[in-house]
Amino acid sequence: MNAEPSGRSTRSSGRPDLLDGAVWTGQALAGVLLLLVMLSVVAGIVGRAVFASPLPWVLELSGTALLFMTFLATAYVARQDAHVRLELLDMVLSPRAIRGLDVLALTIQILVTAALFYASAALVLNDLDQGTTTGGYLRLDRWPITAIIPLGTGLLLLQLLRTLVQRVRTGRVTRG
Amino acid sequence: MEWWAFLLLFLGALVLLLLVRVPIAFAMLGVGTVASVIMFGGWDSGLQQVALSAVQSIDSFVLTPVPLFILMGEVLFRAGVAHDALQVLNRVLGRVPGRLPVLATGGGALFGLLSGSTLANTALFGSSLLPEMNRFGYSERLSMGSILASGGLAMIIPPSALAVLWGAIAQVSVGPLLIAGIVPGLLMAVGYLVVIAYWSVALRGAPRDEEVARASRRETARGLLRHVAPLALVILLVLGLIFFGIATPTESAAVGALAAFGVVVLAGRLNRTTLRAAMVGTIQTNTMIFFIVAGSVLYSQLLSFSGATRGLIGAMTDAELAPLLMLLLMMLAVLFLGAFLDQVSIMLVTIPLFMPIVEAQAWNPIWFGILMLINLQIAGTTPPFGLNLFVMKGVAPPETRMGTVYLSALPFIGSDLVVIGLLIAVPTLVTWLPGLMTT
Amino acid sequence: EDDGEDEADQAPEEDVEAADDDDTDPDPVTLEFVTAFPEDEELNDGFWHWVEEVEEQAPWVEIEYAGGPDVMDPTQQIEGIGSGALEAGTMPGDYYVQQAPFADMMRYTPYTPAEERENGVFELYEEIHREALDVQYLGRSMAGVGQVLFLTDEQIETPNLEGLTVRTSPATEPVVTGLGGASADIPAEEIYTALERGTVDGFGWAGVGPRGFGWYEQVEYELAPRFYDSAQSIVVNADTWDELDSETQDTLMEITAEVEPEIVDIYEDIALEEVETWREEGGVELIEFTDDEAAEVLELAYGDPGWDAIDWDGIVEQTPQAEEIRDIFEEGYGDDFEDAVPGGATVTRDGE
Ligand code: NA
Ligand code: NA
Repeated sequence: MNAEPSGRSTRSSGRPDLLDGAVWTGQALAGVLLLLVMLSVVAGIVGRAVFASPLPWVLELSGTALLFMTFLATAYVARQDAHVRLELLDMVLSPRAIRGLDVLALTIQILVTAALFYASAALVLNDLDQGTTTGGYLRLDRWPITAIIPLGTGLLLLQLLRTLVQRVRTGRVTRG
Repeated sequence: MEWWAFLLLFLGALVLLLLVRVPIAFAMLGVGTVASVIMFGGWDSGLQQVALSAVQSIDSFVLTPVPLFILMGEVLFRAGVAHDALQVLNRVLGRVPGRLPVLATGGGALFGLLSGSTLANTALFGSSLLPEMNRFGYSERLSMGSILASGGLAMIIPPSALAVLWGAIAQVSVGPLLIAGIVPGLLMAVGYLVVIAYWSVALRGAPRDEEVARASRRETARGLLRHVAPLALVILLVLGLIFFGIATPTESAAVGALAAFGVVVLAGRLNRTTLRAAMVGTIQTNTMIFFIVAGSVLYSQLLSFSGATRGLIGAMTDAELAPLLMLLLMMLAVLFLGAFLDQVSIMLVTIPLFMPIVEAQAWNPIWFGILMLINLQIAGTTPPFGLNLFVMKGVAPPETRMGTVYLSALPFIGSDLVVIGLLIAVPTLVTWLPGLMTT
Repeated sequence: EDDGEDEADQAPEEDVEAADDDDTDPDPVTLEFVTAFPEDEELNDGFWHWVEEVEEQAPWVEIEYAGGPDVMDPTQQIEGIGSGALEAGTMPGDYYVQQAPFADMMRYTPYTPAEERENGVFELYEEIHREALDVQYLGRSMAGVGQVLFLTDEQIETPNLEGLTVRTSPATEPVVTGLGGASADIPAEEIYTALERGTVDGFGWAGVGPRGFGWYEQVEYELAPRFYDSAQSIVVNADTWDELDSETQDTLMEITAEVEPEIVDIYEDIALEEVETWREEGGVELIEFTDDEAAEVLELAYGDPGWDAIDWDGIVEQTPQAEEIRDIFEEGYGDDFEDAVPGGATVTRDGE
């Protein structure tokens, strides 16, 4: 965590703080997870070819890893302002109007994220309560899997709030 | 609510959010959440459905080739291996008229590997070839057009992350779909070469006399062996594993990514900076895509539950349109959406509405998928808002006008349309190769 | 509306009966159903028969169709119904094992739905569906179809799958691994290609379906005996059910009980047609083992190995009634499980 990748980040001014660290760690973990998926899928092929025993859990877990990667890194992508958006009106609007829209858009993103956070947290509690499992052969408890969504969206929520505060305070215009 | 009223409200709300610059992923999830609360029995049950569908959208092994293909491309790209190969090919081409645009096309076909997204390809060729084209005095439009077109080749010629995504969401077998892209992709490349040749020679878009650093045959051969052969091997490995049914697309992608690391290590190009850049680049592209995908299942469930899917199919059936007309309408819809949305979003919006029609018409889904992918490539490069165009504008010299970028893409789009026409007339061009896979 | 008048003309007895009970029908109600399988699949034939009977015998009840797996993932539909996102649906018990592990044991039944109503299993099901899933269990829309194992080109002489990889679901996995085979988890959409390319040497599925999906074209052998029951449940959100007036509740229950034996007949016919298609169009041969060998296979399904394959402790923890159900099941198995398979251990017209 000693360096930042290049990118138009909107992190806090000055030294990275706890939130910056968490956001960066999330995406780094996503990267590590991807490497693990790569290695275990290859190990699965070797297992099948050499030991004639397929590793069915590899397939099941690689899907789950994708879910984890996405939600671990989403706050980071939001900070890089790299979520795809339509910039249809940018050419006709004044910078001031764009700034206003930015604040509006950020507020909407925050509301959507809050709803996702609430919905997924409720799902996790429900899963814990009901003992819901995943399908397939592994029949894992589902809550540790669904829990990545409140975790990821919680972090995303904090990042978006910070971006909003900065935008209102400094008036910087987003550029993806 | 009538199905068409729901559809209009839903899409209207989506467009409104997009217009006020809400990122597409948030807009889809937001509208989906509100609709879900209304349609699925209230707050608690509606929100539960939002969360469940987000898990279901992404937690799927069918999708796992996507990050692995992106990783494979990023590793080769960031380590400069792809760039080296480009240099060698440049020398091989020597005095071919329109050398650099041809290189862009050939490179696009070869580095179909660098297909994390068409955007990445456009960025690679835009930043490496465009300055050189300017220096040699190529027509600005020819330069940019050839690069925009080559980016699209990456999407059709396997391995292609976006083809995997299309197949996974449309529930079309991903392996055959990937293999099916080979012939149409090559046809597109041939079309581009014809455009470039005509433009370079007849329209004098290329400089008369280019100074080319001449290399001896031995040097060229060595360059090919060192820089091009390893890449070709990686591609053949990945495609071979899929074609011969030795491994699933996920497994082939994992092998491909590992092989890419192998190539980079052997080339002595793997260091911390490269690794970090490749990982960050991969995760960023992947997350961007999958945060949009997170809303996809909810979206298609709502369309079904509201009756919009069945209503639309009913309306299409009642209208008794000729199949060809129906196909053209669908392709026009994609082009229209291409004015507003990125390719991933267009897939998510159209697949739940299109696939039941494909099924009802008994069209070959793989053939349809390839047509859609070419169509999506065109949508990404048609004015006014193809995302590729903006990437191009971003890497082009600052004085380049958007109008020039628009015009540059048009001849290549024309060529793609010819290819699409050909594939519609002769579907075997698409279905032949994947057909061989199964015998 | 015209249909309603026609029916009234054609079925005067029912009108008389209704008039005996009550002067008027209850207030109109609408129930919106999802199905785990696509609308036109044969796996829904029993459900559509039930819908017809409901519309005929309880004209004030309108059954609306909300859609199939396109509306919600089949393995999540039960959650949607429990939460109230959906009102009602029909799906195999296998599709709600994730939410309630007891569903795993439902396939072990040796009984027809009618027998389950007599021996107390039905009431226990009703109770545990409510407790664990927040849904009212009405009964069966499909029953009496066993699980079948198919092999592509390996003509085995004895029940031994060593060296073979077979596509399984949790419903066929214990038998396949018990016979020494390797099981592969391949989604249904990929089965055809997997068979074609030899990724697997066979597959397991219910006795209805291989025809519709075309898989029979890719296999040469069918193994007997079959095992387990591939049943589907009809369920309604508990609150939605409780809000129905009691006459509607009773009528729906009665209709379901009445229709269940017809559903068993429907699937018996479909299963026979399936087998004919496999034999005549697919050239699929039946491999039958000796009685002792067959008993060995059934032991893997219904004996200790079979029961060990499911999370029994988890089931009992969530729904202690499962112990009682298991006892009732085991009474029905017979000495060498010869009576354990509700749809019959072999299904063939030749054998009749
Ligand atoms: Na490609
Ligand atoms: Na466009």
